[in-house]
Amino acid sequence: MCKRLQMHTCYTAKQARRHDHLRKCRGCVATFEATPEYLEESATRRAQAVAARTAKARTPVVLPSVADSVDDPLRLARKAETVLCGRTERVCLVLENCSDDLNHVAIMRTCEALGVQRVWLVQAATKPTEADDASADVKRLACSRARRRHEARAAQRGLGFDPLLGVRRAQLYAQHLDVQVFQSTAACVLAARTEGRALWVTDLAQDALPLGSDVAALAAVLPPKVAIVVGSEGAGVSQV
Amino acid sequence: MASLIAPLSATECHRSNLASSKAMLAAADRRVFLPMYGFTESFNVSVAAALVLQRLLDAAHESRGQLPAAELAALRLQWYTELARSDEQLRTFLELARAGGAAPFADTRRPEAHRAEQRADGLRKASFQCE
Repeated sequence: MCKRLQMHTCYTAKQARRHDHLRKCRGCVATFEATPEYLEESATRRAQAVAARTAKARTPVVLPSVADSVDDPLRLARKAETVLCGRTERVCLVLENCSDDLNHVAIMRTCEALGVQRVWLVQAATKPTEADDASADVKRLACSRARRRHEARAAQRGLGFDPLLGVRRAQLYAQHLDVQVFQSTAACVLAARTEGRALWVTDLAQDALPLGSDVAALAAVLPPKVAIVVGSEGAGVSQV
Repeated sequence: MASLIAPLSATECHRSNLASSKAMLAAADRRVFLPMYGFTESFNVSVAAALVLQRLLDAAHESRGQLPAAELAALRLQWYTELARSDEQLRTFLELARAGGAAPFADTRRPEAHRAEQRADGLRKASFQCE
Protein backbone atom coordinates (compact mmCIF):
# COMPACT_ATOMS: atom_id res chain seq x y z
CA MET A 1 0.00 0.00 0.00
CA CYS A 2 1.36 3.36 -1.01
CA LYS A 3 2.18 5.76 1.77
CA ARG A 4 2.09 8.86 -0.48
CA LEU A 5 -1.59 8.32 -1.29
CA GLN A 6 -3.26 11.56 -2.28
CA MET A 7 -6.08 12.22 -4.70
CA HIS A 8 -4.16 14.66 -6.88
CA THR A 9 -1.24 12.30 -7.43
CA CYS A 10 -3.50 9.50 -8.60
CA TYR A 11 -2.66 7.93 -11.92
CA THR A 12 -6.08 8.32 -13.55
CA ALA A 13 -9.62 9.14 -12.57
CA LYS A 14 -10.32 5.44 -12.75
CA GLN A 15 -7.49 4.73 -10.31
CA ALA A 16 -8.94 7.29 -7.93
CA ARG A 17 -12.24 5.45 -7.81
CA ARG A 18 -10.59 2.16 -6.96
CA HIS A 19 -10.52 0.53 -3.56
CA ASP A 20 -7.64 1.55 -1.38
CA HIS A 21 -5.75 -1.72 -1.66
CA LEU A 22 -5.83 -1.52 -5.44
CA ARG A 23 -5.08 2.14 -5.82
CA LYS A 24 -1.67 3.20 -7.10
CA CYS A 25 -0.26 6.68 -7.27
CA ARG A 26 1.90 7.93 -10.17
CA GLY A 27 5.07 7.39 -8.23
CA CYS A 28 4.21 3.79 -7.50
CA VAL A 29 3.24 3.10 -11.09
CA ALA A 30 6.49 4.60 -12.38
CA THR A 31 8.54 2.48 -10.00
CA PHE A 32 6.54 -0.62 -10.80
CA GLU A 33 6.69 -0.18 -14.59
CA ALA A 34 10.46 0.23 -14.58
CA THR A 35 11.03 -3.28 -13.14
CA PRO A 36 12.34 -5.82 -15.72
CA GLU A 37 9.65 -8.35 -14.71
CA TYR A 38 6.94 -5.89 -15.66
CA LEU A 39 8.57 -5.02 -18.98
CA GLU A 40 8.87 -8.68 -19.89
CA GLU A 41 5.30 -9.42 -18.85
CA SER A 42 3.87 -6.49 -20.82
CA ALA A 43 5.83 -7.56 -23.92
CA THR A 44 4.41 -11.10 -23.75
CA ARG A 45 0.92 -9.71 -23.12
CA ARG A 46 1.20 -7.47 -26.18
CA ALA A 47 2.39 -10.40 -28.32
CA GLN A 48 -0.54 -12.49 -27.09
CA ALA A 49 -2.98 -9.70 -27.97
CA VAL A 50 -1.55 -9.45 -31.50
CA ALA A 51 -1.75 -13.24 -31.93
CA ALA A 52 -5.35 -13.26 -30.73
CA ARG A 53 -6.26 -10.49 -33.12
CA THR A 54 -4.74 -12.25 -36.15
CA ALA A 55 -6.39 -15.54 -35.16
CA LYS A 56 -9.71 -13.71 -35.01
CA ALA A 57 -9.15 -12.28 -38.47
CA ARG A 58 -8.30 -15.69 -39.90
CA THR A 59 -11.34 -17.55 -38.61
CA PRO A 60 -14.23 -17.38 -41.13
CA VAL A 61 -16.89 -14.78 -40.39
CA VAL A 62 -19.69 -17.18 -41.31
CA LEU A 63 -21.09 -19.09 -38.39
CA PRO A 64 -21.48 -22.82 -39.03
CA SER A 65 -25.23 -22.66 -38.55
CA VAL A 66 -25.74 -20.07 -41.29
CA ALA A 67 -23.34 -21.57 -43.86
CA ASP A 68 -24.42 -24.09 -46.46
CA SER A 69 -23.77 -27.68 -45.37
CA VAL A 70 -24.18 -31.03 -47.11
CA ASP A 71 -26.40 -32.67 -44.50
CA ASP A 72 -28.96 -29.89 -44.19
CA PRO A 73 -32.22 -31.40 -45.54
CA LEU A 74 -33.53 -27.95 -46.47
CA ARG A 75 -30.35 -26.70 -48.09
CA LEU A 76 -31.81 -26.21 -51.57
CA ALA A 77 -34.72 -24.16 -50.24
CA ARG A 78 -32.38 -22.19 -48.04
CA LYS A 79 -30.09 -21.56 -51.01
CA ALA A 80 -33.02 -20.26 -53.05
CA GLU A 81 -34.01 -18.05 -50.14
CA THR A 82 -30.45 -16.71 -49.88
CA VAL A 83 -30.52 -15.78 -53.56
CA LEU A 84 -33.93 -14.17 -53.08
CA CYS A 85 -32.57 -12.10 -50.19
CA GLY A 86 -29.78 -10.83 -52.44
CA ARG A 87 -31.99 -9.72 -55.32
CA THR A 88 -32.53 -6.02 -55.90
CA GLU A 89 -34.73 -4.08 -58.27
CA ARG A 90 -33.38 -0.64 -57.42
CA VAL A 91 -30.72 -0.97 -60.07
CA CYS A 92 -31.73 -2.24 -63.50
CA LEU A 93 -29.36 -2.97 -66.35
CA VAL A 94 -30.17 -1.92 -69.90
CA LEU A 95 -28.28 -3.58 -72.71
CA GLU A 96 -28.51 -1.82 -76.05
CA ASN A 97 -28.06 -3.45 -79.45
CA CYS A 98 -28.20 -6.81 -77.83
CA SER A 99 -27.12 -9.87 -79.74
CA ASP A 100 -26.00 -13.40 -79.09
CA ASP A 101 -22.51 -12.36 -78.18
CA LEU A 102 -20.09 -13.73 -75.59
CA ASN A 103 -19.90 -10.32 -73.94
CA HIS A 104 -23.61 -10.30 -73.41
CA VAL A 105 -23.56 -13.81 -72.01
CA ALA A 106 -20.95 -12.55 -69.56
CA ILE A 107 -23.12 -9.56 -68.65
CA MET A 108 -26.18 -11.73 -67.97
CA ARG A 109 -24.07 -13.99 -65.81
CA THR A 110 -22.70 -11.01 -63.87
CA CYS A 111 -26.20 -9.60 -63.33
CA GLU A 112 -27.37 -12.95 -62.01
CA ALA A 113 -24.38 -13.23 -59.69
CA LEU A 114 -24.70 -9.68 -58.38
CA GLY A 115 -28.45 -9.99 -57.81
CA VAL A 116 -29.65 -7.49 -60.39
CA GLN A 117 -33.17 -8.80 -60.98
CA ARG A 118 -34.26 -6.50 -63.82
CA VAL A 119 -32.44 -6.73 -67.13
CA TRP A 120 -33.76 -4.89 -70.15
CA LEU A 121 -32.59 -5.85 -73.61
CA VAL A 122 -33.01 -3.50 -76.53
CA GLN A 123 -33.02 -5.33 -79.83
CA ALA A 124 -30.48 -4.45 -82.45
CA ALA A 125 -31.95 -3.07 -85.65
CA THR A 126 -32.78 -5.94 -87.93
CA LYS A 127 -33.70 -3.80 -90.90
CA PRO A 128 -31.54 -0.99 -92.24
CA THR A 129 -33.07 2.48 -92.03
CA GLU A 130 -32.67 5.09 -94.75
CA ALA A 131 -31.15 7.57 -92.34
CA ASP A 132 -28.44 5.19 -91.21
CA ASP A 133 -25.04 5.94 -92.72
CA ALA A 134 -23.73 2.51 -91.89
CA SER A 135 -26.51 0.78 -93.80
CA ALA A 136 -24.12 -1.66 -95.43
CA ASP A 137 -22.95 -2.83 -92.01
CA VAL A 138 -26.46 -3.12 -90.66
CA LYS A 139 -27.63 -5.03 -93.69
CA ARG A 140 -24.77 -7.44 -93.35
CA LEU A 141 -25.57 -8.08 -89.67
CA ALA A 142 -29.33 -8.31 -90.01
CA CYS A 143 -29.18 -11.40 -92.20
CA SER A 144 -25.66 -12.46 -91.44
CA ARG A 145 -24.44 -15.91 -92.25
CA ALA A 146 -23.49 -16.43 -88.61
CA ARG A 147 -27.05 -15.66 -87.49
CA ARG A 148 -28.50 -18.08 -90.02
CA ARG A 149 -25.98 -20.73 -89.09
CA HIS A 150 -26.86 -20.39 -85.38
CA GLU A 151 -30.54 -20.74 -86.18
CA ALA A 152 -30.00 -23.79 -88.35
CA ARG A 153 -27.79 -25.49 -85.79
CA ALA A 154 -30.29 -24.84 -83.00
CA ALA A 155 -33.10 -26.31 -85.12
CA GLN A 156 -30.98 -29.37 -85.86
CA ARG A 157 -30.40 -30.01 -82.18
CA GLY A 158 -33.99 -29.28 -81.27
CA LEU A 159 -33.04 -26.27 -79.16
CA GLY A 160 -34.88 -23.03 -78.96
CA PHE A 161 -33.06 -20.18 -80.66
CA ASP A 162 -33.51 -16.70 -79.28
CA PRO A 163 -32.13 -13.94 -81.50
CA LEU A 164 -31.17 -11.98 -78.39
CA LEU A 165 -29.83 -14.72 -76.18
CA GLY A 166 -28.90 -17.35 -78.76
CA VAL A 167 -28.59 -20.99 -77.75
CA ARG A 168 -25.76 -20.19 -75.42
CA ARG A 169 -25.73 -20.13 -71.68
CA ALA A 170 -27.24 -16.65 -71.60
CA GLN A 171 -30.63 -18.36 -71.68
CA LEU A 172 -29.65 -20.31 -68.60
CA TYR A 173 -28.74 -17.19 -66.65
CA ALA A 174 -31.75 -15.33 -68.01
CA GLN A 175 -34.21 -17.85 -66.60
CA HIS A 176 -33.47 -16.64 -63.07
CA LEU A 177 -33.81 -12.97 -64.02
CA ASP A 178 -36.66 -10.69 -64.98
CA VAL A 179 -35.69 -10.03 -68.60
CA GLN A 180 -37.72 -7.59 -70.67
CA VAL A 181 -37.14 -7.17 -74.38
CA PHE A 182 -37.77 -3.88 -76.15
CA GLN A 183 -38.06 -3.40 -79.88
CA SER A 184 -36.53 0.06 -79.83
CA THR A 185 -34.68 2.49 -77.61
CA ALA A 186 -37.74 4.74 -77.49
CA ALA A 187 -39.85 1.93 -76.00
CA CYS A 188 -37.17 1.26 -73.41
CA VAL A 189 -36.93 4.95 -72.44
CA LEU A 190 -40.72 5.11 -72.17
CA ALA A 191 -40.76 2.07 -69.87
CA ALA A 192 -38.14 3.68 -67.63
CA ARG A 193 -40.17 6.91 -67.44
CA THR A 194 -43.39 5.02 -66.65
CA GLU A 195 -41.71 3.13 -63.83
CA GLY A 196 -40.16 6.31 -62.50
CA ARG A 197 -36.65 5.08 -63.13
CA ALA A 198 -33.86 7.53 -63.61
CA LEU A 199 -31.88 6.75 -66.75
CA TRP A 200 -28.13 6.73 -66.26
CA VAL A 201 -25.94 6.16 -69.28
CA THR A 202 -22.26 5.24 -69.33
CA ASP A 203 -20.43 7.76 -71.43
CA LEU A 204 -16.85 8.82 -71.94
CA ALA A 205 -17.76 12.53 -72.30
CA GLN A 206 -15.78 14.86 -70.08
CA ASP A 207 -18.87 16.22 -68.31
CA ALA A 208 -19.98 12.77 -67.16
CA LEU A 209 -20.19 11.99 -63.45
CA PRO A 210 -17.24 9.85 -62.36
CA LEU A 211 -18.25 6.73 -60.45
CA GLY A 212 -15.48 6.98 -57.88
CA SER A 213 -14.81 4.88 -54.83
CA ASP A 214 -16.76 7.24 -52.53
CA VAL A 215 -19.81 5.10 -51.77
CA ALA A 216 -21.43 7.65 -49.46
CA ALA A 217 -21.33 10.38 -52.11
CA LEU A 218 -22.83 8.03 -54.70
CA ALA A 219 -25.52 6.88 -52.26
CA ALA A 220 -26.48 10.55 -51.76
CA VAL A 221 -27.13 11.12 -55.48
CA LEU A 222 -28.50 7.69 -56.34
CA PRO A 223 -32.22 7.90 -57.21
CA PRO A 224 -34.66 5.42 -55.60
CA LYS A 225 -34.85 3.56 -58.92
CA VAL A 226 -32.22 3.67 -61.60
CA ALA A 227 -31.68 2.05 -64.98
CA ILE A 228 -28.07 1.94 -66.05
CA VAL A 229 -27.39 1.72 -69.76
CA VAL A 230 -24.17 0.06 -70.84
CA GLY A 231 -23.04 0.78 -74.36
CA SER A 232 -20.57 -0.40 -76.87
CA GLU A 233 -16.85 -0.54 -76.25
CA GLY A 234 -14.76 2.39 -77.26
CA ALA A 235 -17.59 4.73 -77.95
CA GLY A 236 -19.62 4.24 -74.80
CA VAL A 237 -23.25 4.92 -75.68
CA SER A 238 -22.15 8.01 -77.43
CA GLN A 239 -22.01 10.03 -80.59
CA VAL A 240 -19.23 8.31 -82.49
CA MET B 1 -11.52 2.32 -81.58
CA ALA B 2 -13.28 -0.99 -81.29
CA SER B 3 -12.95 -1.46 -85.02
CA LEU B 4 -9.21 -0.88 -84.76
CA ILE B 5 -8.84 -3.66 -82.23
CA ALA B 6 -11.16 -6.23 -83.73
CA PRO B 7 -12.25 -5.22 -87.20
CA LEU B 8 -14.34 -8.30 -87.91
CA SER B 9 -15.58 -9.28 -84.47
CA ALA B 10 -18.95 -8.78 -82.85
CA THR B 11 -17.84 -5.41 -81.49
CA GLU B 12 -18.78 -3.99 -84.87
CA CYS B 13 -22.29 -5.01 -84.11
CA HIS B 14 -22.57 -2.49 -81.26
CA ARG B 15 -21.44 0.33 -83.45
CA SER B 16 -23.74 -0.44 -86.32
CA ASN B 17 -26.92 1.04 -84.95
CA LEU B 18 -25.71 4.46 -83.97
CA ALA B 19 -29.09 6.16 -84.05
CA SER B 20 -30.45 4.28 -81.05
CA SER B 21 -27.40 5.05 -78.97
CA LYS B 22 -27.86 8.73 -79.65
CA ALA B 23 -31.50 8.45 -78.66
CA MET B 24 -30.53 6.80 -75.40
CA LEU B 25 -27.94 9.45 -74.66
CA ALA B 26 -30.42 12.22 -75.38
CA ALA B 27 -32.91 10.66 -72.96
CA ALA B 28 -30.33 10.18 -70.21
CA ASP B 29 -30.93 11.83 -66.84
CA ARG B 30 -27.28 11.55 -66.01
CA ARG B 31 -24.11 10.49 -67.76
CA VAL B 32 -21.65 8.49 -65.74
CA PHE B 33 -18.23 7.10 -66.43
CA LEU B 34 -15.79 4.79 -64.72
CA PRO B 35 -12.48 6.40 -63.82
CA MET B 36 -9.61 4.86 -65.74
CA TYR B 37 -5.96 5.40 -65.01
CA GLY B 38 -4.09 3.91 -67.95
CA PHE B 39 -3.52 4.65 -71.61
CA THR B 40 -6.46 2.41 -72.43
CA GLU B 41 -9.48 4.60 -73.00
CA SER B 42 -12.27 2.11 -72.51
CA PHE B 43 -13.27 -1.09 -70.81
CA ASN B 44 -14.63 -4.17 -72.47
CA VAL B 45 -18.43 -3.88 -72.35
CA SER B 46 -18.95 -6.78 -69.96
CA VAL B 47 -16.21 -5.53 -67.66
CA ALA B 48 -17.71 -2.03 -67.70
CA ALA B 49 -21.13 -3.44 -66.85
CA ALA B 50 -19.71 -5.43 -63.96
CA LEU B 51 -17.78 -2.50 -62.52
CA VAL B 52 -20.65 -0.04 -62.85
CA LEU B 53 -23.08 -2.48 -61.24
CA GLN B 54 -20.65 -3.15 -58.42
CA ARG B 55 -20.35 0.57 -57.68
CA LEU B 56 -24.09 1.19 -57.81
CA LEU B 57 -24.92 -1.86 -55.74
CA ASP B 58 -22.40 -0.85 -53.10
CA ALA B 59 -24.33 2.38 -52.75
CA ALA B 60 -27.70 0.61 -52.88
CA HIS B 61 -26.85 -2.32 -50.64
CA GLU B 62 -29.88 -1.98 -48.35
CA SER B 63 -32.24 -2.45 -51.30
CA ARG B 64 -31.40 -6.14 -51.50
CA GLY B 65 -34.27 -8.51 -50.80
CA GLN B 66 -36.79 -5.68 -51.19
CA LEU B 67 -38.64 -6.98 -54.24
CA PRO B 68 -42.42 -6.43 -54.27
CA ALA B 69 -44.13 -8.99 -52.01
CA ALA B 70 -46.17 -10.60 -54.80
CA GLU B 71 -43.13 -11.04 -57.02
CA LEU B 72 -41.11 -12.37 -54.10
CA ALA B 73 -43.75 -15.00 -53.32
CA ALA B 74 -44.04 -16.01 -56.99
CA LEU B 75 -40.27 -16.36 -57.39
CA ARG B 76 -40.02 -18.33 -54.18
CA LEU B 77 -42.69 -20.76 -55.32
CA GLN B 78 -41.07 -21.13 -58.75
CA TRP B 79 -37.53 -21.68 -57.49
CA TYR B 80 -38.52 -24.03 -54.68
CA THR B 81 -40.47 -26.13 -57.18
CA GLU B 82 -37.57 -26.20 -59.61
CA LEU B 83 -35.03 -27.13 -56.96
CA ALA B 84 -36.91 -29.87 -55.13
CA ARG B 85 -35.39 -33.27 -55.93
CA SER B 86 -38.26 -35.54 -54.83
CA ASP B 87 -41.99 -35.39 -54.27
CA GLU B 88 -41.51 -35.49 -50.53
CA GLN B 89 -39.01 -32.64 -50.68
CA LEU B 90 -41.37 -30.71 -52.93
CA ARG B 91 -44.14 -30.99 -50.34
CA THR B 92 -41.81 -29.77 -47.59
CA PHE B 93 -40.57 -26.90 -49.74
CA LEU B 94 -44.06 -25.81 -50.73
CA GLU B 95 -45.09 -25.77 -47.08
CA LEU B 96 -42.03 -23.68 -46.33
CA ALA B 97 -42.85 -21.32 -49.19
CA ARG B 98 -46.36 -20.85 -47.84
CA ALA B 99 -44.93 -20.17 -44.39
CA GLY B 100 -42.79 -17.36 -45.79
CA GLY B 101 -39.59 -19.09 -46.85
CA ALA B 102 -36.72 -21.02 -45.31
CA ALA B 103 -33.98 -19.43 -43.21
CA PRO B 104 -31.40 -17.95 -45.59
CA PHE B 105 -27.68 -18.67 -45.43
CA ALA B 106 -25.16 -15.93 -44.76
CA ASP B 107 -23.95 -16.19 -48.38
CA THR B 108 -24.28 -18.43 -51.42
CA ARG B 109 -20.99 -20.30 -51.14
CA ARG B 110 -21.22 -24.05 -51.55
CA PRO B 111 -20.19 -26.58 -48.89
CA GLU B 112 -16.59 -27.79 -49.07
CA ALA B 113 -17.60 -31.37 -49.91
CA HIS B 114 -19.48 -30.21 -52.99
CA ARG B 115 -16.59 -28.03 -54.10
CA ALA B 116 -14.23 -30.99 -53.81
CA GLU B 117 -16.65 -33.03 -55.92
CA GLN B 118 -16.72 -30.28 -58.52
CA ARG B 119 -12.96 -30.10 -58.64
CA ALA B 120 -12.65 -33.87 -59.05
CA ASP B 121 -15.21 -33.71 -61.84
CA GLY B 122 -13.14 -31.03 -63.56
CA LEU B 123 -10.02 -33.17 -63.26
CA ARG B 124 -11.75 -36.16 -64.76
CA LYS B 125 -12.90 -34.06 -67.69
CA ALA B 126 -9.42 -32.62 -68.21
CA SER B 127 -7.83 -36.07 -68.23
CA PHE B 128 -10.48 -37.29 -70.64
CA GLN B 129 -9.70 -34.49 -73.04
CA CYS B 130 -5.98 -35.20 -72.86
CA GLU B 131 -6.40 -38.80 -74.01
